[in-house]
Amino acid sequence: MAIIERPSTTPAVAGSAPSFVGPADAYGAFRRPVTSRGWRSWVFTVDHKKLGIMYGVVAFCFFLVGGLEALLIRTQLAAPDNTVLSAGTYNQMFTMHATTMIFLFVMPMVSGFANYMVPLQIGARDVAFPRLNAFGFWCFLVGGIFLNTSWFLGGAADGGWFMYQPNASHLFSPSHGVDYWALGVQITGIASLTGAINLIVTIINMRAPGMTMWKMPIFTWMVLVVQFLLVFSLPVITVALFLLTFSRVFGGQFFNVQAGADPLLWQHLFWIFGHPEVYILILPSFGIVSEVLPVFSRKPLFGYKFVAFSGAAIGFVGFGVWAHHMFASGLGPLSVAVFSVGTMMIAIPTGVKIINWTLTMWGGKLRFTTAMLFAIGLVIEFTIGGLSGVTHAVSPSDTQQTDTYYIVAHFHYVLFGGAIFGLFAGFYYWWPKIFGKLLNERIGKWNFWLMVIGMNLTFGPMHMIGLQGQPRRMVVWPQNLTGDGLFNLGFWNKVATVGSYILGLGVLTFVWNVTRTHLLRKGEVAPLDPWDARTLEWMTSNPPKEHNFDAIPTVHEVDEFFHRKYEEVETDHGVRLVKTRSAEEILADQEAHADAHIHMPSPSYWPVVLAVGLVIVAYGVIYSVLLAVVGALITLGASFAWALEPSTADPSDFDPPAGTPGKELANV
Amino acid sequence: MTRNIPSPEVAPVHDSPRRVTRRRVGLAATATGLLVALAGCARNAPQDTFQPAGENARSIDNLQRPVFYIAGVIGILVFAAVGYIVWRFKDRGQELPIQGHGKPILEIGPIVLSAALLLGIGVPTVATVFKLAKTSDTQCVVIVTGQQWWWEYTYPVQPGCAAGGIKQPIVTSGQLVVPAKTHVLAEIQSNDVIHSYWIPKLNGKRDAVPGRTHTLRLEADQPGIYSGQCTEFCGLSHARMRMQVAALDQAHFDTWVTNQTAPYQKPTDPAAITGEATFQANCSRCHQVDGMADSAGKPIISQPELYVVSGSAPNLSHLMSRNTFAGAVWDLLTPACRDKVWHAKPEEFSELYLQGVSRECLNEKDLRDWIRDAPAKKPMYSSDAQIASNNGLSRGMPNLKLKDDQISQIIDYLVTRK
Amino acid sequence: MFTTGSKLFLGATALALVATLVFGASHGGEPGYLGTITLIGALLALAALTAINFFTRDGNTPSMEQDITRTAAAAARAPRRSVAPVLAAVGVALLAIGAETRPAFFKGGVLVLLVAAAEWLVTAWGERASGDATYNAAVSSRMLQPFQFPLVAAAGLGLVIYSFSRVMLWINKSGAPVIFGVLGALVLVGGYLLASRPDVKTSMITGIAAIATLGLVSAGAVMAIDGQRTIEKHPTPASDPAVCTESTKDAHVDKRAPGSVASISSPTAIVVVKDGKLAVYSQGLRGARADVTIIRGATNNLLFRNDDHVARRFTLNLGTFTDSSSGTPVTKKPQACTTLIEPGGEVWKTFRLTQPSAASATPYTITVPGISDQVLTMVVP
Repeated sequence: MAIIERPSTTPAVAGSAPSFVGPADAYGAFRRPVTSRGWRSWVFTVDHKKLGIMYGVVAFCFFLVGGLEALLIRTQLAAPDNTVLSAGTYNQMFTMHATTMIFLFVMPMVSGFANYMVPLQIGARDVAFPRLNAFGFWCFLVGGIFLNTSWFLGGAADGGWFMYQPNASHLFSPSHGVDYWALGVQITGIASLTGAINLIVTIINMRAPGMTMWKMPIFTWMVLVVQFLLVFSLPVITVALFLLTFSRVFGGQFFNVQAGADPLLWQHLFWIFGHPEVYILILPSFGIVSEVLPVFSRKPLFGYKFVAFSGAAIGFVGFGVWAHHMFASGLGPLSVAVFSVGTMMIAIPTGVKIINWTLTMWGGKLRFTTAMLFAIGLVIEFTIGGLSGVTHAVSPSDTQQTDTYYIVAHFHYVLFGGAIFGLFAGFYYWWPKIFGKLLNERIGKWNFWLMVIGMNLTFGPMHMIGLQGQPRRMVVWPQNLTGDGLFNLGFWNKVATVGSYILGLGVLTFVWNVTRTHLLRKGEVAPLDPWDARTLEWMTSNPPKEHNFDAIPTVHEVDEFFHRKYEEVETDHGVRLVKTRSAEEILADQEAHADAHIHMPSPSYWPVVLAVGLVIVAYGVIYSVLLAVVGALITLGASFAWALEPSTADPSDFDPPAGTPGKELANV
Repeated sequence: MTRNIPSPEVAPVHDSPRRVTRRRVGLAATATGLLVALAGCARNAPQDTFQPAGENARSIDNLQRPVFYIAGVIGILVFAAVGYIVWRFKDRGQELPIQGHGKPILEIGPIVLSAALLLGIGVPTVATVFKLAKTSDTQCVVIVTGQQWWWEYTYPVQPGCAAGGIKQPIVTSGQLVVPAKTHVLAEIQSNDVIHSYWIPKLNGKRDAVPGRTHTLRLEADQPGIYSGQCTEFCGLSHARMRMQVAALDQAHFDTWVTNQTAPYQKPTDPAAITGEATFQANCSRCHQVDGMADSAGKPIISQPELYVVSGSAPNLSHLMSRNTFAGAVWDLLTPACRDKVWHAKPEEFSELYLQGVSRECLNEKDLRDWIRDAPAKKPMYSSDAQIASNNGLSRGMPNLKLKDDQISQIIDYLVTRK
Repeated sequence: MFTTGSKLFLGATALALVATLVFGASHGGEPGYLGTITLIGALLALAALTAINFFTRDGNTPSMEQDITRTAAAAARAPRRSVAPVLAAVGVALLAIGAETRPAFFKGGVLVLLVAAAEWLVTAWGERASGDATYNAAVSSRMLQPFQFPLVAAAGLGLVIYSFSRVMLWINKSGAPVIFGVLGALVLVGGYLLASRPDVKTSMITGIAAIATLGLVSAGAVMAIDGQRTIEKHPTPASDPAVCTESTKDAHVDKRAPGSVASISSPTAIVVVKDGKLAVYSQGLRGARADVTIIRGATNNLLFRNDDHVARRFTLNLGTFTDSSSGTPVTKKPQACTTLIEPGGEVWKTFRLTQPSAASATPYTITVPGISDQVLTMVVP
């Protein structure tokens, strides 16, 4: 599939004196980089797989940062009136914990998986806009670093991740933390928005022949739904963040009550983004689990269309329920009643998913690999989170629960037990695909059980702590509000702290597993099809070649790969599935019929330069107009250079020169 | 290809039966854990949301209990189903299942069922929402104002509340005193950022949003003290912004009103007279004491708007009639005296509460620490540098750099403010 | 044959001539001489440059001969069309106008000249990039278009929006929504028609868009010259304190009083005037009352509803304070009021009180001009 065609360099008028002029001769400054090894091949890459890996690595680093922040929070809350953290630091800690986990871990980690897997799952060779893809990654990286530099430059944001006005206004939060937050989230928002447009175009236009929408793998389906959610919800937060930045930096009056404004405007804007955001975080994990469960149950996903459709329904209804975050903020009984009932409706498609996952396993042949354990873990933990969600869809009940630890428990069951368990299932399931090596299953089981036990010990008690009246975002809890008996709130706070350390240990086990596999080189080389998988991404080598598929497959089934391996055979005992071809045979067949001409996009310098320009503008907005001008010039220059770049590198630029096997394919 | 590939008929990554057993044990442990958890609640937690002590909290409780039970049953059903499937369909070398996407009819059933269930929850929810929003049956109105980081209560002029009504407004803070068995309506406002008023045993929470007046019904079945906390994140000392509702029986409440509206009592004790002067010199610019006059006989009006962002500071006219201070975080009573009042029987509570804080029962240490250096005790935005960077306005009480004898004089004076 | 250089110099000379004549005719006396002399100097210099260029380049007929053309690859092709000379001339003209009238024009001229210079440089380079004309054209458009398109688009959109704003400011208040609606509908219908017929030629779409733009821009120009509709001015408490107390002071009635979304919910209290009676209602306090307790510090919003038969406004009398800090006591009686509200209308008033009633010599009150016997008291503890 030709993604980007080179323009013809044959001169229009034959016989003129200097008869051949390549684009690079005309403006040599804008040659495209061609290095295929070393750091340059990563920094300037536009390859969706390399970008996917970088997304994953960076996001995981931020996960460790966010986890460290969480452990500090729990350490502070281990004892009454504790003094590990000061009130100011604590407020920054929980603000940045949420921001990091949401914007710098789960969202980019999902971007990583989507980047890597979606083109493979739909039988494409890259995404639709490869340079835009690279730009998205660099925006996320510089945005994330920018956000975290605030720790060292006068303190991080301290208004909570929801930044309610006027508490996050300049008067009540005078440090630069909130400015960093608004601009940093804005920049990572650019990453998500460009990524979303890119993936939508890719999924809609670049599916392999025969792959109708109803033959798309379910993970791709969920990614598609999420990208639409992003496209519609991110503009709202973008506007809100601009209002916030203008209020703080340039003295805007958007939320000033005395000037006639209403601070609830911010809440509405924030939650119109913030609620779909919840589904942006969770739906991709639903997709991963919907891939993992069928593979390890060796059955197709039960009610595939229902699962896809309920994902879309959750996304759609998710836009109409934002005010359930505001049941206590004085909306008036009519609004509260409407949003209350609307919120209950979300439970229906969510329930559909749980039922489908359960029925997928029913009658299957279950193999309890680590990936499968995490998937089953998600079904269980997410059910708990979903059910506690129903209790605060009941708005009068929510006025008791909101802003208490019960809510903290609820959304950690949803986001940790849901989103993050799904991501870990994805790690174990796709690791051999991405890195060509298997993660150790034994350590994987340790990893799973430590995380399950840790998470239930951490967040389980929070249900009780919350229902018995401990509000959230409290730097200290007093002994005299904990009640009597051994199992008082103080006891459960201690349990939660112990649980969080076990959880941390679980995450470290994963880090150890990766270290052992790669750094210590003890990882087992992955077979071509280690899980007897079902979808297209497994129909290529581990890790895939740069151009993904030698020949683009034609798709006939949802589980195309599986149906190429197995056939139904009539026997005396009824219909039986018989394996007729191995993955190796299928791959060999593909290689034998390789496409003759494959055009792959060339790397580019400019996405990373452009992203760096943006972050300089952001620093400039906070510190100096001059710096902002410099950043703007870099941004402008980089966009110009981006536009001027030839669409591919000249063949003679390549090192090793064109003609070497492999390179030839990429550049003919 | 020469690589040895495991036959896909045998799971490439295999589970020993022992491990599966472990998983079952794990599930059982989780279930037991949940049961232990339910049984393991604290007793008498002051802010327990399942122990309503008034009509409004009870309506919520009646609504939420069935929802929790239903959710629990559904949860157990799902766990049981998953547990059974995990045990029943684990890979024992059985045939590969037939590849089908299932029957849609199996989906429709649960969808209709869950929709019906949600309708069953939805109808009483909507009814309760409107019931809790009712204001027409109010018997007593209190304006509740949130600011960083304490609550102020203003009893507006009204015919209800006490016998003969309230003729002149009363201003207090920290502890809201209300008559028991009375429909009290809190009109919630804010002077700076968003706060939230929450007395779990009396009702759910309601945000105090600047520029808006929100109402919250409060009614206590019996005299007693009910704890609460600010629940909307409001900055540095959000954790130290608490409040209590003290419900008195009607007769004692009337006495309380009479006391609060009584004319200013000049101190008679010499120490307290000195204290009054010290108070006027150091505290009166922010803290109002109603009716207090300067040496020229001119009434002293505090001007907190010149010093504090929120434009208000607690009214100290009757400080010793309440028994907590500084955002209702610290006790004015010594632990022994406190327990006597706070854990009193409902029929005795009103009498004990009205006794206020005597010299013997005064928790002088915390009060002294507070007056000496408030921001050290409670994080506030009120250091000299912070005030200077904010056009001379503070958020919270600054360190007044008073000497020990001045502090003693002020305490001597304050102890007379009952 | 004129080269682009000659065209520029010729144009500049002509402009200098016009400028000299205009300036010379309009400025008499001492200050006029210097300017006129400078302009004559510029005129002469430009005329000389035009002549030199014309004779050395345009009149150099041998260089246009076929033989030589073949051997000189770079000069082989006639220069391409270029907008740069005209742009440069416009820039110079703006400089001249700006020097004479407003600095903004001068700055604009500098900007236009810079753009023209950049355009010119790139075009000139592009013409000599290689011997291949097609390739040269491709190269220079690749260099220029990333700048040209956004700039031209921004300028064009700016012009359209500005023209539209002039149109909207010219038509009267009741006509504006109609025009807005009709134009919006036209755009929608037009867009739909074009979208539903994919076979419509591009030239036709361009034509329609051009005619529409031209129409809008010329209408905008005409209306901008004619000036805006008259915007009424009303006295405010700051400009005329009597407006809050005398019912006859300002007869304008605000028909769209409740302005913001927030104003439909959660007021501190509601003030109602009905049949010449004034009353205040607060939540939880049953019935009409003559007093309302307002706390100090908080920002309060009072809702005023006019259920009377005539247009009413309401006034907050915010006490009486004597300020003796400057030596001589100055008595202040701050007031705030709304515009007149037609019967059935509502209006919102935001205010914050910092002083209690006890600090004021007179009570805080709410009154309605024209109803003298009704006074509501605001109690501020």
